[in-house]
Amino acid sequence: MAGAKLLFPVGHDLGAFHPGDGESGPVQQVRLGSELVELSDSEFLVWTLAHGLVDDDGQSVPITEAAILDYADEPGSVHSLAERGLLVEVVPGSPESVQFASIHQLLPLAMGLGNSRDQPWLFAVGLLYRPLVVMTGAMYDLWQWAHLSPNLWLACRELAAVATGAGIADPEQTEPELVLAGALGSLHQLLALRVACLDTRIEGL
Amino acid sequence: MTAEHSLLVFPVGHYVGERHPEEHHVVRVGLTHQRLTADGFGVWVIAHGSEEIGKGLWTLEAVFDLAEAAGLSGVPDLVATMIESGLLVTVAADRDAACRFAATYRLNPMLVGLGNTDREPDCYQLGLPGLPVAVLDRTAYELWQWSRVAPSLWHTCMVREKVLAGLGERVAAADLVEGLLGDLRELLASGCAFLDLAEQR
Repeated sequence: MAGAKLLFPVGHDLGAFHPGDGESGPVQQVRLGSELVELSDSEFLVWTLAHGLVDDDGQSVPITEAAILDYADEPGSVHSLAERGLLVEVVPGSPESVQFASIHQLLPLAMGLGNSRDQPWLFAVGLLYRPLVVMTGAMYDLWQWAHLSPNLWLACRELAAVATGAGIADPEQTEPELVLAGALGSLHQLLALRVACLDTRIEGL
Repeated sequence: MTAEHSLLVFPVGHYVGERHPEEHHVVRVGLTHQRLTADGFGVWVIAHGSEEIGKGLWTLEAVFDLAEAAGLSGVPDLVATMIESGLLVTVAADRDAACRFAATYRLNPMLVGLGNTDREPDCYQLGLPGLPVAVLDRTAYELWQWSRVAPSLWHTCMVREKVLAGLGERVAAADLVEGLLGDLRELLASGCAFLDLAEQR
């Protein structure tokens, strides 16, 4: 069931910090766990691209290293971001993906807007009265609850247990590995619009 | 106006939207989904404050006044029910009450940083890419920036105490809570963060 190696950006985007001293240039800042890290312009470009890409027809492109390098020929930045834990390569469905999920958390960065009378099976996330992205009920549940679990893997296990307890028969909702694989497969649509971010697990939070 | 009306009020929880066909709104507080009617949701939104007041005080009286002006019905009962269920919390305007509040709640950031500028280095913009939402000063921005790693608002006050001590300024954490509540109001009113229970994770 393993698929392509996907790249995921980790950290909460804080934007360009201008020291305001009239001398130093701006630097891109990201909060990674309890650390404030600074990215060079080319690192920030690669890190931003890793949130999500679309092709000329507006279709989402799987975020692989090759896809990113097609847009920005910056292999050194891919490497330095990976070394610092700001970019992680994961194969959804692989044993390594469980390890990845065990040391990262998924944080919501927007409001949930719920479903609608017309499409009760789809749930929107965005700003108040301004939906930005829609997703399945299962993904919506993960989006809203995952940050309360110590890590993303436990969040998937808890959601799978809830689905099982609710009598759902679909293994994609009741098998934790499949819940995680499904989440990783659609996570970039949330990351691209910044309605969620990945963070490193912080003990006790 | 009763003494109760002068209490500060804060909304608690992460809004997770409407539910159909049930036709209600849902706010998550800790590990619980709380349901709200349309009028209840209106009151909860009003309790966030108004961007016009900045870091100023937002009281139950202000909520009653604005809810009435908005034509919401049964507001006193709605407020009482929401206080009981934990969707609203009131805080007396004294230091001890503010410290208890700060120890009971934590803040979760929403949105991303869009940076400051050379021209206005103390003005930090938050929003989503291409969609600015709010501009904050340095203290409100730092509260937002680090809220994810602070287990409670009180923890943030203790950190601020240490930072100031490092700068040679001696101020007790308890004396920093009032300023923090001003920053908090600004973040809540602009939709840049939400309060949650400190002990439910």
